[in-house]
Amino acid sequence: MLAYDELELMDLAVREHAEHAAKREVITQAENETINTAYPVNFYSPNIFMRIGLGLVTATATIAIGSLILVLIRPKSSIPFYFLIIAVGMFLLLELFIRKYHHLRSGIDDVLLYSILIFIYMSLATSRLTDINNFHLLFSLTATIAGILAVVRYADRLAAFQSLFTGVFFLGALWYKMGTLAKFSMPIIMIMLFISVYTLARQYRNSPSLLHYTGCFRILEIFSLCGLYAACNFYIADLWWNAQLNISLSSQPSKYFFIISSILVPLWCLFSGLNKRDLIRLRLSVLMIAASVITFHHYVKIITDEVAMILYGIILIISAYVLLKKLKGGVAGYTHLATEDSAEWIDLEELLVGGSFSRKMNATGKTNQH
Amino acid sequence: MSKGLFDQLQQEGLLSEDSLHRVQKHYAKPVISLQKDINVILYVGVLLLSAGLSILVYKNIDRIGHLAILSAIGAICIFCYAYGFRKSSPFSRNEVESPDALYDYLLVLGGLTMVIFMGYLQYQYHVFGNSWNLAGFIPMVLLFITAYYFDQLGVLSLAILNLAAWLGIIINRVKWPFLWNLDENHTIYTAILLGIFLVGMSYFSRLTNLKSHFSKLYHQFGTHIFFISCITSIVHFNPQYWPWFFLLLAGSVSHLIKAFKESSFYYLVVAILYLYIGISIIVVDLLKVPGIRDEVIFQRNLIYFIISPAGLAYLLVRLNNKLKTDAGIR
Repeated sequence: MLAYDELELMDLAVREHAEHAAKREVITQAENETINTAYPVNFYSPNIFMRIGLGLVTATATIAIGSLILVLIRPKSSIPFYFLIIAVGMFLLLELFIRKYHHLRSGIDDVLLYSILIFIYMSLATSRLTDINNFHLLFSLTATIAGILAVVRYADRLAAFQSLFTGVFFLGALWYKMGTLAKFSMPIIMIMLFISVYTLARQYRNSPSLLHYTGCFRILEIFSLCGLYAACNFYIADLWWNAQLNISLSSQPSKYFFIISSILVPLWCLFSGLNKRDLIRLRLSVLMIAASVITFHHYVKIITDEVAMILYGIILIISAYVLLKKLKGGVAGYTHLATEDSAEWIDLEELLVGGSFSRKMNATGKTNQH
Repeated sequence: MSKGLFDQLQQEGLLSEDSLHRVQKHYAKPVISLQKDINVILYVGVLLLSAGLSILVYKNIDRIGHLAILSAIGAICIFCYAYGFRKSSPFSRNEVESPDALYDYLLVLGGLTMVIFMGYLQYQYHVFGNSWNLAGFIPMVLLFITAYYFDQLGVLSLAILNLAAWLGIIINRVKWPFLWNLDENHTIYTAILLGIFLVGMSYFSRLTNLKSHFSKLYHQFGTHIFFISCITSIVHFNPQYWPWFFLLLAGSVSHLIKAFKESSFYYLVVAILYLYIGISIIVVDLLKVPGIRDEVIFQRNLIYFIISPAGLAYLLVRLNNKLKTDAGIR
């Protein structure tokens, strides 16, 4: 299923954990070296600068190929076919880079994957299918399927992000076709969709058999939370109803639902983040609280915008100062000092052993070797 | 802490019993850092406060009056500097640890308000007469002094930007600062010299051991200003671009030497990419052969941009491997 060698990915994860521990001097450098030797990794994963450099170079070539097709191909109606051919060619090239040259997040494989997706979408967008009714449904469905396939094959986070939003768009657009009732209930449908995605992502993120997809599930979790908040937000719901039904949400009884959810979702995010020691959820909750404050300021203007900015600025500076003072000695496992430890890192470690790691140990018989 | 992974490694004989105990102890209660989050909150707070104040002043300028505004900006500036003096350690030639996150942000705010204060003073009251040159020079010197005295990289960045602005004022003899006009000969020369000067300052900092950790920032600014100016000059002086290309080539080679000397992947990629941009501009120009249709020239350009990245990627990978081998990185 996964294009990359799963056993080697496992070795890489073991090495990363050992490196992490060695950096904190909890294991010795010699032990780290021994672990590295025992778990050899053959991937070509250069540093971030090389990755950016190789990515830029690959993107340049890809854009040139696309442009050349647009310039050279006659008649223009056959362009979609050539775009598809290029997508297939790039897929073969990507597989070659992964299988033969063992590229893993090298910049080349990332850009090749995105180029395949873009060429597929360009093929669709330049085809005669654009003339049909409901082309947007066909396009979003294709994008969702292509994105999911990219996630399954390459465990790519950006593809996971794209398939989440095109998938939600597709389902939303399908629902929209049901008529006035669908327009009326759209925010609720969106809330339900995002809650479903969030629950599924939470459930499968901790599945040992899906260890290599942890990052993708994390992305789904984060962005489904963002989507959930957006769907709950009073201002966005009001915008939707105004645009689609010409009704102001302020005059409807359902306004209370959106007012309460605009407050409750950030608070739930904040407290569950604190409780689960989930830094990303904590950060999201701060952003959501800020969005809620701006929303209420938009509807209830007690002070002018500039005075509000000054006030919020002062509140933020004081909050930061108080946090700095309070966290000086470390409170409930939180500190203001720099550290790379996080609950997520420990979770990953649990997962690594949860099933796949032991399966790998049995497969290679490494336990007996040492 | 996971019972599994490090236990397994210990059972395999890859980890000593002592190390396993240390690992278990270390990960028993992982500490989560909120440092970046607090910094972001502070940054957004400072941004909101300064933006809110600016809008408030702008909307009420007739009612408040210039003196009141200047007093408010001056008061903020004095407060920030006072906080800095109160918290800072005595001057040292070496790196000094920041007492807290607030210290850094307030010093940057102090530097910013000082520049605004001087600019406002000159714009409204012409305290330096018509000499915008002096109005740019004094804040720049003060910013450099602040950066060195308080050991503040953020203020040093402001000072370098101010230096570029001041040079822009001198070179273009206009009120509008900075080296924006990179389509004029003298601005390009100045920008190239500024880039070389900043790279020189980087070596000077390191050689004299005067705030040697500033060296990286000087080099960053110097490198990019130099390369961007060289590329601009290749475009600007077309078709007499060869001297500028050789200057770019020399800069790239010197950066490659630095990359190998210091095992820096960053400078390796930067040097190669800037050189590639320079070469590509010349190739695109050389492909413009008179008598050939524009469409054909365009197609040739595209073919160049399909083939050349493959070679460039190969070169980058080879150089990266060589650098890793030289540095003993596996």
